[in-house]
Amino acid sequence: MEFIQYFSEVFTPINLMILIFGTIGGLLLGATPGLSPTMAVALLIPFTFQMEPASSLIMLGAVYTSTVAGGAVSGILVNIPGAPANIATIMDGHPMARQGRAIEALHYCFISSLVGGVIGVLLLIFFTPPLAELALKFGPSELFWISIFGVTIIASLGGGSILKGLIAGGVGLWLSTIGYNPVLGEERFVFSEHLAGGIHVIAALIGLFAIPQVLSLVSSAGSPPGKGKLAELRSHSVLKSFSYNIRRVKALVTGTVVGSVIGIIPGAGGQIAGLVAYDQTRKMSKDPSAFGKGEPDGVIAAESANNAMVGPSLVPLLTLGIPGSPTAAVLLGGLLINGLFPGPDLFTVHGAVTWTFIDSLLVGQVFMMIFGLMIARYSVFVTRIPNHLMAAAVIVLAIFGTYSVQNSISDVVVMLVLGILMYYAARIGFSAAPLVLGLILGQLTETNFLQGRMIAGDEVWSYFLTGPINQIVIALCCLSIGYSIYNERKQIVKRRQEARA
Amino acid sequence: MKIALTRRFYVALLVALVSAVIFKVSFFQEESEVYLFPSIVSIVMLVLSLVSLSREAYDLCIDDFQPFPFVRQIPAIVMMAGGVALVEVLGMYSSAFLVLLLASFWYSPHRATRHRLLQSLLFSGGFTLFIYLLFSVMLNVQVPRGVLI
Repeated sequence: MEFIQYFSEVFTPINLMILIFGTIGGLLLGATPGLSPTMAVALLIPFTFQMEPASSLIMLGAVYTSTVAGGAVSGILVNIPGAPANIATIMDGHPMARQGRAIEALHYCFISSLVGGVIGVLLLIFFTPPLAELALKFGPSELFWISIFGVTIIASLGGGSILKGLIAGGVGLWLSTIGYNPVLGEERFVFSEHLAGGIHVIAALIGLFAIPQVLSLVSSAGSPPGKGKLAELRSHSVLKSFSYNIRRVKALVTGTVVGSVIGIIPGAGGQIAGLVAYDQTRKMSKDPSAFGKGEPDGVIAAESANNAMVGPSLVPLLTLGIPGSPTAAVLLGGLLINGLFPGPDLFTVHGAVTWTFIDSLLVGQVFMMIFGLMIARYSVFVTRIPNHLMAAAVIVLAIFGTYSVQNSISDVVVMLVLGILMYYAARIGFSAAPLVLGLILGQLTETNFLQGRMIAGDEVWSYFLTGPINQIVIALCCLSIGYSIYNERKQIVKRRQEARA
Repeated sequence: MKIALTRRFYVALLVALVSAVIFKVSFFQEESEVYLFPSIVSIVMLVLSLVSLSREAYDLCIDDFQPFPFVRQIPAIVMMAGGVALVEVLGMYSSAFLVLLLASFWYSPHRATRHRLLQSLLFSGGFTLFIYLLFSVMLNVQVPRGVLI
């Protein structure tokens, strides 16, 4: 029970202050479009040089935790996800905000983040050794199939048509290949100077979500923001949200379990945790058609998964030095700067620093929820902004957010082009989420596919198709597609019967 | 069964053509190993888009089309593109100010008056200051500077 022994270290005045500032700063950075948790942690590393090792890790851990949750704020309010991890949150979070239920959505977001986050950190504390062994069993073939599983989930995220979902996912996968081959390093598909470095995920993310939002805002710019929304916003107390949120056991458990499992898989990235949890919750729901139209379970599942992923993503990092997510990779840099090398020594020789850091993650979850709920209270001001001003502000935020990623105007051009095309694609039934997921998973899929081929030599088929983990994930892929086809056919039959009636 | 030449069919045809172009640029390359993964993706996309085309031809899909309100959106697209094109000349903050001013003035639901122009000017100035404080002062992002700031 070493983690209890070092709890008091988190509450020293300096560490507590760092934890509070880190959490508030992380929430604000997370809510800024374009600033992903990875960038936020990377930005803060230089500020930790002068700190004690424990304090610096507390700062980085607090920022990591709170940026993941903070990214949902801009997603829910203005439909720009703060980070790829928040894509699933906006699917129901933003429709809730449009119905005047922004505060309620933000409440569920932060309460679910707390539940998922605390369970994720407890997993980190109690199950680090066995989970590390599980993580070691994932080689290129298993990671390739995990990515393909992510891609098959795309199908059901497309909304109406599974085929359109898969095609959009395919476009995303193909777009991810623009730039350089990740293994061989050779340039390909650079049709314009703006595509020289490939398509940056954050630029695509902002473009695909923010620009269609701008174009729909200007379409309805004449209509005043509904005044009837306020009454509903005020009537939703935090206690009511707590009570509702805790009763949504299925969504919370699905989100937490999915987030924890995906978080531990090295390289899979927390980006897909929310989407997988959202998809599974929708499939298990009694009324899947309510999802995408402002169903609270969608927000609860996505956000509990996002934060449940944080703790387990540190398991392979702390034990084996293998980061479970891109942000964990940046945190690895923070550990090394402080002279802490992953492995058994971390929990013995440097036990005081490591356990203080892990304990701070637990306390940080509580602070994140408290400050998050405070921010939610003021979100009403954002929902009252007239459409034409909101559209103007989103354009400029999208441009600056995209530019700040790599200080590149080419990213801004790519963002705009993708965004405008996406708006019209959405009007003919294509969805942005599968495209973004394809873009995110593209490099991971290709890298593992090519590495797997090199390892397998002449036995490519047996390498990719045998082994218990491979076969389980392949079965999951088939189930995911099969279930989506079944659902779509059911929908078509139902609509035809309604039309005939 | 009779082929239904609906607008959905023509869109599916366009998607199939785009998939065919992607297949062509991915598959017919000299260094096959570099293009292996995109080639596989493009084959899958082509097959899917052909399946989609055949389903649309026999009217087996859900109608999920929405109208295109082009007229309202063209000014916004021009403002965004123009703003980005002017970044190199005017600088990022001046371009942002211009885009904010034009978008907030053009799309305002109220009549064009001097008062409304003043409101748009105040909003644009205030938001540009906020953006400056956030990106340049707090986050230290180096943005292109032009004739003004």
